Amino acid sequence: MSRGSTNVENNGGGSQGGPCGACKFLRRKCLRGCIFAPYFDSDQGTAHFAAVHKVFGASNASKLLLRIPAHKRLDAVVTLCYEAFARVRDPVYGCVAHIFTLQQQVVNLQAELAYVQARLATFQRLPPPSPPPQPQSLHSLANVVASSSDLVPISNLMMHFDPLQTQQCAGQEMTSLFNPLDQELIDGEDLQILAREFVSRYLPGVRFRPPGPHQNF
Amino acid sequence: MISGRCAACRYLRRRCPSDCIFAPYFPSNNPQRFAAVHRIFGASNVGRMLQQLPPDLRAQAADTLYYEAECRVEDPVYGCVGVISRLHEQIDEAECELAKTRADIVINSDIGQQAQVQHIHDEVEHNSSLLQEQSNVGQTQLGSSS
Repeated sequence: MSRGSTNVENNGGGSQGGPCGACKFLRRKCLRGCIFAPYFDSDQGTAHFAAVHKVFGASNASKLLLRIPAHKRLDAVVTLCYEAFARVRDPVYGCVAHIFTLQQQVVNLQAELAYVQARLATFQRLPPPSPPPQPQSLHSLANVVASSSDLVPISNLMMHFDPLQTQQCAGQEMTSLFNPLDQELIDGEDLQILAREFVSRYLPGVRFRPPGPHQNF
Repeated sequence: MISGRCAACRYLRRRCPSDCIFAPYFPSNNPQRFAAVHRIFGASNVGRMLQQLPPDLRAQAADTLYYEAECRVEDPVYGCVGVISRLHEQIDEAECELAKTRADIVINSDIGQQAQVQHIHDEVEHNSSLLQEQSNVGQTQLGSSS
């Protein structure tokens, strides 16, 4: 429903402009001071009022509007029309179907947020690189090389986000947000460039500090 | 029989017939439920809407009508639209936070990966020099024993 169908300039119906949309639908005389006249014109307003009448009834709608301050009545009419049309279109769920969808989307996003926050915490808990170790035997060299494989390569970490996207993401926009990065980060070569693009795209106020050759953690 | 009326018939002060359309969905132990839908939609509208639906869908319809009525009673101007608006705000906030956290992960993983590479590089260099020292020691020992 567009607000263009309402006529807030007409403070009363009846004598000059013909009946308002509500009185036209109800086939009654549109009196001066008609509660519906400012909001239901005789064109589209008739169809809008028809839906409101079918779902709420003229008497209930009138009582609702009378209980609301005049400066809020236009908003009330708009929302009543929305709910009425939603109920006509879906007699079982009405506009509540939309609420259910949004609630599910919120739950999915919060779960996804919890997951990525846990992942971020994992990165931030990684121990800093230790100072050069004491002299060791040849035997320990193999151990050092072997233990480096425990540090998961960045490509594997980024690939883990793909199943997350397909399992938990509700909106397509979230999938499209991350998938291009997954493909390009497999070999990790353009990580810095992509990270800069990512940050500048979503956090334009954040300056991305390129890492120096020696980082102290 | 006065006792055993559903909440709707109690509210409307009428006899509750055996095939009352309201009885299955507006039990007498929850009078507020019918009061809300009656206030917003009216008894005849609710009855007509339920009658027009297949019986297996009426319970769901009664629940959503009650939900809509409650929203409208709590917020007479915006009703369910107010709830929808607040949910959109929550979604926007969560998406923003998600994007920010993902950016942090990318930054942290980049720093972490560079730290790993540097760490391994330092280890390899140190152990290479250790190997060289041990090799020198070995040659010295071989030379002295021969």
